[in-house]
Amino acid sequence: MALNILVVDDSATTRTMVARTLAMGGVPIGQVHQASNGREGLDTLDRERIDIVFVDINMPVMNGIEMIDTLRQKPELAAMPIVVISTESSETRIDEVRRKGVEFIHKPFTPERVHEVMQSLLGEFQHADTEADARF
Amino acid sequence: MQIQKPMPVSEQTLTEVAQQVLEVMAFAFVAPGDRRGDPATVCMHATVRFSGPFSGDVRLSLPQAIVPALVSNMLGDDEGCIPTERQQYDAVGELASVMCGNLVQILAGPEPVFTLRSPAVIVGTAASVRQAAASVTSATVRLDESWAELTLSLEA
Repeated sequence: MALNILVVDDSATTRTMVARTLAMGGVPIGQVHQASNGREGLDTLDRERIDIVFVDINMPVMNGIEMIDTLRQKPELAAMPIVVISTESSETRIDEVRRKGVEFIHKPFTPERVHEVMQSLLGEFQHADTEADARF
Repeated sequence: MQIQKPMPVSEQTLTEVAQQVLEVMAFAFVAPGDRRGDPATVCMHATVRFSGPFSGDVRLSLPQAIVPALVSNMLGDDEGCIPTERQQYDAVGELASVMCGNLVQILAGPEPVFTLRSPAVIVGTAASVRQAAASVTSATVRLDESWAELTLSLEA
């Protein structure tokens, strides 16, 4: 199963770096959609089938935490796997983010860290598939 | 909000942050050093303002001549493909933003929360950027055959 990804970051450079890192990771990637702030990210989620969201915190218009909170209130998106990629280093803020049930990757990020998180999420996908199969 | 004083900032701290970010994000060979170019060298200056328990800004200055190669590394472009001006501004701003985020937390400790503004990027000589802050610390690193300068300005 190829995963469709949404990368939300106000830096086009970071969006490209994340997309390129994912493409090299050995995990089957389908389409990579991009958005430059939380509002655009939510609009993309309304239009496209997305499997995993990568999102920055500090962004204009709508920041990453506001986007995650809005997204979690939508029943159809409440369980969406989310990875925050941010320069944020405050343990207070990182704990706040993790309590929302998201993975956290610190900038500057290495490809190894991104792949590690993807493998972890992929394991969750496979576990969910296995559980779904077992129900039939 | 309670005003907290930052830990004393050293040139070494700035050097370490600049080195780590440039190595990881731009795959650059970086070493501590004080070799500066001609003050008239045209540079890209990316400034990120931060606010929290204390406020100020972090500025990354890079000679404009080395920016295309750095940005190509970040984007993973093939050799010979020159990044657009827009890509160069965005990439240098992002480098400064990541440096700022890492640096303020070293100065403040693990708990405080800071807000970072979007980077402002300009092109000009080193002499064209002036500091009016109460406290300014700078560090220069050697960057391949050139240099990069990271400057932290803290408000009183």
